[in-house]
Formats: sequence, C-alpha cells, structure tokens
Amino acid sequence: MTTGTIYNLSYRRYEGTRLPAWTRPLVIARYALTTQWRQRGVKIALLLSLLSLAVTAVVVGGIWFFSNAINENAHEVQRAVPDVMREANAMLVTASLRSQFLPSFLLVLLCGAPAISKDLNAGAFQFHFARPVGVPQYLLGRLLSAGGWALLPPLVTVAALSVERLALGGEPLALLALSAKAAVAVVLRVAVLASVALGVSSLTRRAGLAQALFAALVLGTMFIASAVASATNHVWVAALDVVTAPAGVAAVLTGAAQELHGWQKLVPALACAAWIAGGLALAAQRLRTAEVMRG
Amino acid sequence: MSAPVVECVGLSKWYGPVLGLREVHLRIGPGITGLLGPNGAGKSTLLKCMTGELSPSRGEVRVLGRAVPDPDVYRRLGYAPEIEVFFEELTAREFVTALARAAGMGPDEAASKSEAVLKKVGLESAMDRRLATYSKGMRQRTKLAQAIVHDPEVVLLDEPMTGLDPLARAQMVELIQELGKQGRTVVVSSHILEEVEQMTREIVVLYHGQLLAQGELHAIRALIDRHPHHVAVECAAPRALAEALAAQPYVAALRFSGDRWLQIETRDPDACYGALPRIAKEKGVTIASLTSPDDNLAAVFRYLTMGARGGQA
Repeated sequence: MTTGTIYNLSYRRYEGTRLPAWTRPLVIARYALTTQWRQRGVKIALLLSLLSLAVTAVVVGGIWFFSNAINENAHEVQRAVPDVMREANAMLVTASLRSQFLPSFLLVLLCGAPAISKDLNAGAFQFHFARPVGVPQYLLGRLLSAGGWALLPPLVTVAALSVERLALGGEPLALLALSAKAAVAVVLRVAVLASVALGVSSLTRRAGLAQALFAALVLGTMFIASAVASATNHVWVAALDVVTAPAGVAAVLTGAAQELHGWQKLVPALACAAWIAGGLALAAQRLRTAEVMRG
Repeated sequence: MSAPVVECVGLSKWYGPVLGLREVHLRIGPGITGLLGPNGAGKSTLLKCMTGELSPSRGEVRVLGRAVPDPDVYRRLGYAPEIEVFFEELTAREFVTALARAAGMGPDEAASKSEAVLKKVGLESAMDRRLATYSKGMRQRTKLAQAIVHDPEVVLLDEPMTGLDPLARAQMVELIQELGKQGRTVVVSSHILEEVEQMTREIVVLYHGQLLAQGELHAIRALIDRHPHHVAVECAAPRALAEALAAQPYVAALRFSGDRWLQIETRDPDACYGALPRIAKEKGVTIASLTSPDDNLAAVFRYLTMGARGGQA
C-alpha cells in the first residue's frame, strides 16, 4: 500500500522584476565591498591614503606655486620655460600614481588577494553558481570588489590635485585632458593589481598564503625588472612589471617617456594587458575546476 | 510518474580516479524526496550535479526539462549546500538579500522577500546580526532562507538538519513539509534516517556512488525478498496464536518476547496480515497491538546496504 499526498498548490512562481544579467557582477561587488569595509585594515589603509593625499597636495601645490613664479619671471625677460610648465603639469599624473601606490597596494592586498581563496575555502561558489551567475560574471564582480577600495584613493587624489592646479592658474582645457590621462593611469594600475591578485588568489584556499604570494609577485617582479633593465641597459624591460607598467603607460600618455623609443612605447601598455589577461585567465581556469580542487 | 522535474540519465562522476557517482538513472517528481546514503555515498555530488556546479563525467542531468547548467533553471532552483562557513561579515538579512539579487530580483523586492523568509525560518530577532555570531542551527536556517527567497520550484537541501537542536529540527521538518505540500519539488539529503522518515516516504538510496533503490518506502520494502518481514503481535496468549500460525506456509519463523509478544517472520506479509485476524478469532485471542518493526527506513536501509555489501551485515 502506498501513501498518498494532497498538494495544496499554494506555490506561485516568482513573476516579479528580473534584473538583466549584467547587474550580477555589480551585486557581487557591492556585497563584497560592504564586507571589506568592515575590516579594520581597510579603514586604516584608507586613512593612510588620506594622509598621503594631504602631504602630496602640500608638496605638489608648493612645486606648482614656484613653477608659476619661475614662468612669470621668464615671461618678464621674454624667455618662456615650457619644459618647466610641462613637467609641473605632468606631476598631476605622476603624483597621483606615486603617492597612492602604497595605500592602493595595501587595499588590493587586503581585499583582492584573499577574495577567491576565501570563497574556495568556504565553498561559496555553491551559493553563487546555483544562481544565474556564470564564471565571467562572478569574476567581474570580484574584480570590481578587489579594486574598488583601492581605486578610491588615487581617483580622489586626481580630483583633488586637479582642483588645486586649477586654483593655481592651470588652464582648464589642458587640465581636463591631463586629469583624464591621470584617471586612465590610476584605473589601469588598480586593474593590473586586482587582476594579478585574483589570479594568485585562485591558486590556494589559504588567504594568508595568497596575500604573501601576491606581495612577493608584485614586489619581486618590480625589483627583477628594474635590475635586468639596469644590467642590460634596456630601459623598456623596467616597464614590464606589475607596478611600473601602468606608470609607463602614464608616462607615454603625458609625453614623459623620453627614454622609450619607437616600439618600446608600446611595451608598458602591452605589459598591462598581459598582466590583466593572465591574471583573469588563470582565475577563470581555476574557477572552472574549483570543485575538483575541493575533492 | 508524469514528466519528472529532476531527471538523471546515466549520470557518472569521477574525481580523478575516485568514483563519485556511477550510472545513476533517476526521476524525481513534485513533493519531498529523501536522498539517503552513508557519508561518502555520493549525495552531495548528486545534488551538485543537479545544480550544475559539477559537470557530469558521463550522462546528463535535466531539471525542469532543461539540461543544466542553464540560467533559466537557476532562476527556478534553490540550493542549500552543506557548508557552514560563508560570508561571515554580512548579516543574515544582507546575505539573503544579496543572493536574492544575484538571482535577479530587484532591490526592493529582494529586501522585502528576504525579511519575510527570514521571519518564516525563525530568524526575525537575529536577522541583523552578523553571520559570524550565528550558531550552527541559525546558519542552517539562513541557508534554507537563501534557498527559498526567490520562490524556486525546485529546492535542493544538502543535510539541512545537521547541527539543529530537537526543537529547531522539528521546525525545519515542518518548513520542509510545507514546501513539499505547496507542490514544489524538494530533494533533501541526509544520512540520518529518522530525519528523512519524518518528512517523506519517497526515498532515493545511494551507496558507494550507485543508485541502490528509489521509490516509496513500503514499495521498496516489499521488493526486498531476501529478508523476511517482521510482524510483532501483542496479545494475552501468544503461544496459542503461535500454535495456529506454525502450520501456515507464509510463516518462516516464530519467536516469543516476554509473556505478551509474538514475533512472526514472514515472506508474504500481505497473506500474514490478512490471516491474522481470522486465526486470532478462531483461537479466541484478542490482539492488543500489531506492529511491523522493520517496516521503517532504518530496516529498509540496512537490508539494502547489506545486499550491496553481498549480504554481510
């Protein structure tokens, strides 16, 4: 004898709003950023970036003030000093990159390097991938969250220095172009750091190990590339590493990469593309076999 | 069975040289189905294949008529995995809302649905606390909440009772039964037989990655011919009853237990149940109670797995 069941059929399928697939990475990023904000280290790194911004604004402001004075005096003797002004303006880009390198690096180290490791360790893919979220959407969401907080300090710095330069007599249109180049450079730097962090993060379930590997890769490639460039007298080699490649792109954009010639000017951009593509491809590959890794 | 909601066709999964599932053919319809098996039997692997999280090494899984992985299926599927560590920094409300939004719900609907479903699973007063502070039982309820927040037609629950105290366990059983009664397809895995027996009589038994049995509990029990059925009779004169029963062809053995109990082993339980009242009447014996100690999940499971091990108990 089999038992019977009477269903009350009260279930109704959800027929409400369905947001498009492209919003999924934003959802993943949003909640990851919320989680990261609750870490003390993230707040400390952001405070450090504020300190760095204040010091940079004072120093760069001082340089711009004296550059203006030199330029005005040069006009008085009918001899313009275009190099001084160009270099002074280019400081908007270089200062934004250099002054916020440490906070950005620390923020990617804290938020990006452990991101996939933690999900691997917790088995969080089971929550994500049992929903209409694919590997590319997950990865984009993680990329946005790995670089979200790290992007904030340099972008604020670009904005603050642009306003400062404007107040110190910068030409608005030229300043706008320069700010855009600075923004491109800082976005590129954070994208490279975040992509590499995600790639490294996908290699291990241990968040601390992922962070150590990321730090070693970033700093190690920087020292190696710099040493090889010095030893071989090939300056372009120095533009291959994770840190210098985006700075090289910025230098090319602002015309400050005078030591690079011909095809060498493409090296920083190609290196950035390779780091981003390599990091994300590695992470995607590891994600596709994530469950096998769990055994 | 009408068109199955979940169907596995020749499903096999290997983890390198380790066998996860082997040639599983399965059809699951609406209502609650208990997925049973000892640890390592392949229950979680089967559920992960159903969610599309694992790709089958061979064969196919179809959910709601579509091969997984399929985004359309995921909108209609809810899954509570076995894991206990997740998104520790988020509150339960944030966690469930985030996953509702990942399922495609708009922000306002996701927020209101999350609140409603968290109240339903009994986390009303704790939904704004971080998950890091949650007990094992609260985590189980949060996992159930995230699995049903988007009103899925198919709900897959991997060991949902683990870590629950008796009261919470009863509440969870009630919740799962409600989902089943609504006409949804609910697959609940467990290695604790009593839990599943409380929820459903419809079972799937896995053992070492292979499908051992599927169907209604009594029907499966009836198919196990190699083990005689046990019938326990409580009466004032068990010896008089035994005397009459001993000559019956369907009786394999008789045992006494105390002064009032007679244990009958029979290979034809229907004939036994049919004849007992007549024989008792003839002998003038009043039957106080009649039970079948092995017509339960534990016995069925024991017999099935003994069979799979080659009859070694």
